[in-house]
Amino acid sequence: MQDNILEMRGITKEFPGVKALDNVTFQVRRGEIKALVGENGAGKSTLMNVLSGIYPYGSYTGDIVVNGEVCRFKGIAQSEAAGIAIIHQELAMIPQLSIAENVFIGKSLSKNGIIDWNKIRAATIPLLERVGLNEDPDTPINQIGVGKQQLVEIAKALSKNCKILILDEPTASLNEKDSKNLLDLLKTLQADGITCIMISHKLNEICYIADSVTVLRDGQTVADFPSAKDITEDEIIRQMVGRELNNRYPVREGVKIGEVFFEVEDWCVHHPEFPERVVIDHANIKLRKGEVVGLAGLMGAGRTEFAMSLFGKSYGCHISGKVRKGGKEIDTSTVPKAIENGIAYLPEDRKSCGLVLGETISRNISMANLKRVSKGGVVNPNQEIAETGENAKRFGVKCSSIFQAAGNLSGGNQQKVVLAKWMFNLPDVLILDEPTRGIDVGAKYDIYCIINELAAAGKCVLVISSELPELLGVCDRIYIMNEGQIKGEKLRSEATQENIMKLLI
Amino acid sequence: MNNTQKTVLKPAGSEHANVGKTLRAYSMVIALVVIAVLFHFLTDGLIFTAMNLTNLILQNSYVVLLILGMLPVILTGNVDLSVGSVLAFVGAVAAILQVNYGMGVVPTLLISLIVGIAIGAWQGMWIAYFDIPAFLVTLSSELVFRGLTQVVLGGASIGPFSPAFRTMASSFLIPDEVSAGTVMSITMIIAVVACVLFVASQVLERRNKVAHGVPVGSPVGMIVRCVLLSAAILALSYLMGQYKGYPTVLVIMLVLSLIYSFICSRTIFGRGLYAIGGNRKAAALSGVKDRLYFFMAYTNMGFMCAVAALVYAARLNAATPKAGVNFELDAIAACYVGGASVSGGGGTIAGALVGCFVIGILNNGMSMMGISADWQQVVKGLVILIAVAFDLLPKRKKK
Amino acid sequence: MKKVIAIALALVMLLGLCACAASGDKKTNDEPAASTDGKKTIGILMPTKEQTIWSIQGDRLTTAFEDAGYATAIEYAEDDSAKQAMQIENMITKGVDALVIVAVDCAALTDACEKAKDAGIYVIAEDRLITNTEAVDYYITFDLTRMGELQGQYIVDQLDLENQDGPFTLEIFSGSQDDTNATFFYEGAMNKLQPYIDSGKLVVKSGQTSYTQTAIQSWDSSKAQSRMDNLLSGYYADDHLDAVLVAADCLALGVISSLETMGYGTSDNPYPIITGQDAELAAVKNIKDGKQSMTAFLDANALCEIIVPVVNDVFAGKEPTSTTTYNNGVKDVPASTYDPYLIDKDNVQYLVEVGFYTDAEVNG
Repeated sequence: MQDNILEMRGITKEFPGVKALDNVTFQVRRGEIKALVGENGAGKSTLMNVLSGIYPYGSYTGDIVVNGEVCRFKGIAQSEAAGIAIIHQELAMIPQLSIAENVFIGKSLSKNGIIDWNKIRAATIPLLERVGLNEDPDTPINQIGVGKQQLVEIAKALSKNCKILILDEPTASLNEKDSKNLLDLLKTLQADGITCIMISHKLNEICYIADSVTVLRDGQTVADFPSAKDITEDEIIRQMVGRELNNRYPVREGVKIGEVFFEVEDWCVHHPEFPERVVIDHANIKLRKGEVVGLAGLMGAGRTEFAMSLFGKSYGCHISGKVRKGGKEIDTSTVPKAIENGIAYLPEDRKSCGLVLGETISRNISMANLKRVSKGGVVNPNQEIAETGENAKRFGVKCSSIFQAAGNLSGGNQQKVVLAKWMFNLPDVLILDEPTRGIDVGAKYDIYCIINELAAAGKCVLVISSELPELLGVCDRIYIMNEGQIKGEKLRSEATQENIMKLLI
Repeated sequence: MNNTQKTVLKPAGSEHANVGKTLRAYSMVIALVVIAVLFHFLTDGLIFTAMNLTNLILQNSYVVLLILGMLPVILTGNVDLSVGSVLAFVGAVAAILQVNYGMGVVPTLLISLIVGIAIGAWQGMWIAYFDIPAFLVTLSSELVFRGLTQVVLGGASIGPFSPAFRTMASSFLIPDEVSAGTVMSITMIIAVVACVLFVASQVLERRNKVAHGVPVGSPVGMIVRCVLLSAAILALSYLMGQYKGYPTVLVIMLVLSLIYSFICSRTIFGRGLYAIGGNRKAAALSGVKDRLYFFMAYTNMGFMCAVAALVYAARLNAATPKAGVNFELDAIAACYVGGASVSGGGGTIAGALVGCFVIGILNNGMSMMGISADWQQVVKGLVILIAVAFDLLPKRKKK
Repeated sequence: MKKVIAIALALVMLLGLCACAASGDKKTNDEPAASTDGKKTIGILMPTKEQTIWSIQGDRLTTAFEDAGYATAIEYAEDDSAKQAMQIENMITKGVDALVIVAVDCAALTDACEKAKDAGIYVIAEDRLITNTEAVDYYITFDLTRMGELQGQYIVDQLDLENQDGPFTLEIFSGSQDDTNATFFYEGAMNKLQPYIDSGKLVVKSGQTSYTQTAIQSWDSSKAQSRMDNLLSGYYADDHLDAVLVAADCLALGVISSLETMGYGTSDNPYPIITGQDAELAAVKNIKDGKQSMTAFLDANALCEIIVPVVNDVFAGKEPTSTTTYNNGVKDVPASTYDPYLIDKDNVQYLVEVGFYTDAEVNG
C-alpha cells in the first residue's frame, strides 16, 4: 500500500473558453521529491494554484486529498494551515524590508498588535541556518542576490511548518552554483520529512533530484514515472511535446563562415553607480559572417553588461574601446546610432525590456524601425500592418491576429515577436541575450532554427546563454567570459562542458 | 502562403463580435449623445439651441486646447499639474504687454507663445534630462507660476484687451457685415465641404488598405460612419448657422485637434509617445529617443497652455490672478473619461475631446437646470468615477 | 451598449436625487425658467456660497423679486470667474430679462455682459462694479467709503484717541486686490486713522500701512491667519496689540484664530479691537463672545428696497432714479447706495429683529 501524502483526483478547471485542466490525477508519496513537468501552458501552474487554494473550492471540480482527508480550500490561508506552501516563480518579497520581516510577513509575532522585533529576529536565525543562509536577519532583501532570496522564501515556507513545499521553476533565474545549492537543500529537507513538488523546465536537474516525475500536456496527465530509475531526458521530452524530438538542436547545415565582419576591441566598462568598479575589462571579440558565436559566463560575469554597453551605452559609464564593422570603425554611442549601424540586441528580459505588453503584435514588431513604413515621419498604418504581418508569419508567431496584445502571448511566442521586431530592422549583427529563457522545448527548437537561418543569411549572431548544452548545441564558436574578461575561446569541435566550465570558474 | 497571411491579418473575432467591439469603441460618444439628449429634455429643449451650442464650444474651448497638450503627456505615463498656473502666467504676460506697454496684437501673441514654450521646455528639461519625477517638477511649477502671476499682475486683474485681441475668443468666422442674411448658406457650404473631405479621406484610407493587401470587409461600416458623422456635422452647423455661424475658436480648436490627432496616431513621433508610455525601457532599447520625446511632450504642453491662456484671457477680457485654478484637473479628467490609460501608453485625442464634452455638457446642462453648485460637483464627481469604472471593469474581468 | 444605458440611468438617478435635495433645501429652484407663465425673469449671479453674506443676499433677493411678481434663477460661481461667465451665458440662453450680478472678478465679465446687452438684457452690478465695459446699466452698492469710515471711527472711539495719549499699537488687514471695493474700504478707514498714525498716537509696529502691503488675496481667511501669525511673532513678542483694522469678517476669523493661538483672550491679555463687515454668523458669535469688536451689517432688506423699484422702473420703460454715478473705466454708471449698519456687542439682537438670522442661530 502506497503512502500518499497528497492525491488530486479528476481535477477539471475551466477558464472562459479554455479547459486548462481536464480530469487530472496527481499523486505524491510522503517524503518524496516530485517533479511536475510540461510545456508552457500545459497546466502545471494552474494545478498548483488549485492545490494551494488560489483558485478556491467551487471554481474547479474534483477532489483534493491531503493526508487521507478531503480538503476544500477557500484560500491560501487554509491550504497553508494544511501544511502546503507554494513558492512562485516570481518571488513575492518586499525588496525594502529585511530578511526577518519578509519571513514573518503576514503572521507577525505580535502581542496586542505590537510587533516584538526581537522575537522575530530570534525566530528567523534557526530558519536561516536550516536553509544554509549565512546572513544577518536585518539585511534588506534587495541587498542579497536572487539565489539567496530563493532561500529566504524557503525559510518563510518552513516558518509556516509546511509539510508539502511547492516550488515553481525555482532555478529559472539562478546560476549553476546557486541551482546546485538549492537542489541539495531540497534533498536535506527531504531527509527532514518534507515532501517537495518541483515544477521545472531543466531536465538535467529533474534527473538529478526527482524521485518521480509527472508529465502534463494540454491540461491532461500524459505520463507518470513512479521511479527515478526509469527516467531519461529523452523520454520526458517525448512525453512533453507528444512527438519524438530526436535532436533538441537543429543540425547546422551548409555552414559557410565568411570574413571577420564585426569586431570589438579593448572594450572597457565601469559600473554605473560605483564608477571605480570595472565591469568589463579589455574584452575583445570577433564575429564572422554566417557564424553563430556563443558567449558563456556565470551570472555576474558581465555578459549582459557587455552586450548592453555595446548597444548604445545602455549600461555603465566610462565606456572605452573600438567597434568595427566591415573594417570601419562605427559609432554605437546611442541606441538609435547602434541600430542605424545594423546592430540588434534582444534583451535578456523580454517582458520588461523587449516588449510593450499592452500594444499589438504589429506595433511591437514595427517599433524599432517605423521609418520603414513611413514617409517624412508619417506612418502608413496599412503598409505597417501588411509588412509586420509578413514578419510575424515568417517567424512563426502563433496568434489569432496581429492585433492581439503582445502581453496575451505565451513566452515562446513573445520571444518570437521580439525576434521579428529586430528582424524588421534588417540588422547585420544580432546579439541575443538568453533567447530561450523560460520558454518550452518546442519553442526553443523554433528559435534555434531561426538562429540558424539568420546565420545562413550571412548575419553575425552572438548568443548569450547560461546553459552550456545550449551553447554547445547551436554555436560554431564560444567565448568564455569571467569577471568581465574574455578568458578564452573554443571552437565547437574542441569545446566540452568540462573544458568550458574550467574557464568559467 | 497567402492563406496563412490572411489568417494572421484577420481582425480578431467574427463579424458579430466586430459590431460589439465597434459599439464599445464608440460607447463614450454614445454616452455623450445620450447625456446631451437627456439634458435637452430635462431643460425643456435648451441644450440644442443655436446659442447654447455656440456657448458650449466657447465655454470648453480652453479645456479642449489644454487636452491637446495634456494627452501626449498622459500617453507618456505622467500628468502635468502646472497647467492652471502656467495658463494664468501667460495670460498675465499678455495683459501686461497689451495693456501696460500698448504692444500690438501680433507681437503679444508671439511673445506669449514663446513664453509658454519656454516654460514647457524648462519643465521638460528637468523631467527628461535630469530624471526628476514629473509630478514634482510640475508641482513646483504650479507654485512658481501662480506666484509669478501675482507678481506680474500685482495681485489685481488687468484688462481690457484691445478689440483685435478679443476677436480670437469672441468673434465668428464670417464678419458681421457679410453674414447678414447669408450666414446660413456660407456656414452650410463650409459644412458640406467638411463632409466631402471626410468621406474622401475614408475612401482613400480604404484604397490604401486594399493596395497593401489589408482585408477591408464590407463597406457597410464605413458608409454608416460617413453618414452619421456627416449628419452630425450638418445638423450642428445648421444650428450654429442660425446664431452667428462658426465661432473663430471652434476653427482654431478643430484645426489644432486634427493636427494633434494626426501627430499622435500617424507619425513616428506620436507612436514613440505610446511606446514610451507602454514600456519606457523597451522603447529606449528599440531606439526610441525617450528623453527627447519627454522633452517634446512637456514643451508642447507649455505651448498649448499658452494658446489656451490667450483664448481664456481674450474670453474674459482680462488677466486675473485666479485664472486657471484647477484647469489641470479638468484636462486630466477629460483625458481619463475619454479612455486614456492612467499608466500611460493608451488613449486618443478624439476620445479625450469626447470626454471633455461629456463633462462640458454636464456643467452646461446642470447649470441650465438650476441645480445648485454644490450638487453639481457631487454629480460631476460621481459621473467621472462611473464613466472610468465602466471603461475599466470589463477589462479587469478578462484577467 | 449596456454601459451607456447604465451611465444614463445613473445620471438620471443622480439628477433626481439632486432635484429632490435642492427642492427640499430651498424653494428657489422649484420653477424652471422656461415655465414662467409670462412673468419677467430675473437672473441672480452670486460669487460663492461659502460666504454667508452672499447666500443670504441670494435668498433675500430671490424672495423680494418673487414677492414683486417676478420669476428668478440663481447661480453661485464658486469664486471662479470663468464659471461665472459661463453662468451668465447660460442665463442668456434661458432667456432672462434682467441680471443682478455680484462679480467674482470685476474685470473679467466684459464679454459675458456684452452678450447680455446684445440680447437686450438689463444688467445690474451689485456690490462690485463690473469694469471696462459699456454693458453695465446700473450699479447698486452700500456706500463703500462710508463702510471704511465706520470701521476707522470705531477704533478711534473705542481707544478714545481724542483724549488718550497712547501710544496704541495697530495693524491693518485690507481686502483682496482684485476687488475694487477693497480700496474704498481702506481709504475710508484711513481717513479716520491716518491723523493719529501721523501724530504717533497709533503705532503700526510692522510698518506695513500701505494698501498693497496689507491686502489679503481672495479674502482668504487662512492667508489672513498666517499674516497675523507672522506679525505677532515678528513684532509683538513683548508688546500687546491694541487694535486691528480688519476689512471683513472672513479675514477677522483668521486674525482671531491667530491671536487665540498666541495667547490672547485672557484677562491680562485681552483681545485687541477687531473690526469687520458682513455680519457673518461666525463673526456675530465672536462678537457675542467678546473676540471680535464690531461688524457692519449690510441690510439685504435695505438693498432689496432699492433694487426692486429699479427693476420695476426698467420694465415700465422708465429711467430708474439714481443718486450718484461710479466710473467703471469706460463710462459713468448710474448708481444708488445704502448705508451699512454697525453691529457690536450691544445690538447683536437687531440681526434677529430684521430676520437676518433666527434667534436660535445667534443665541443657540
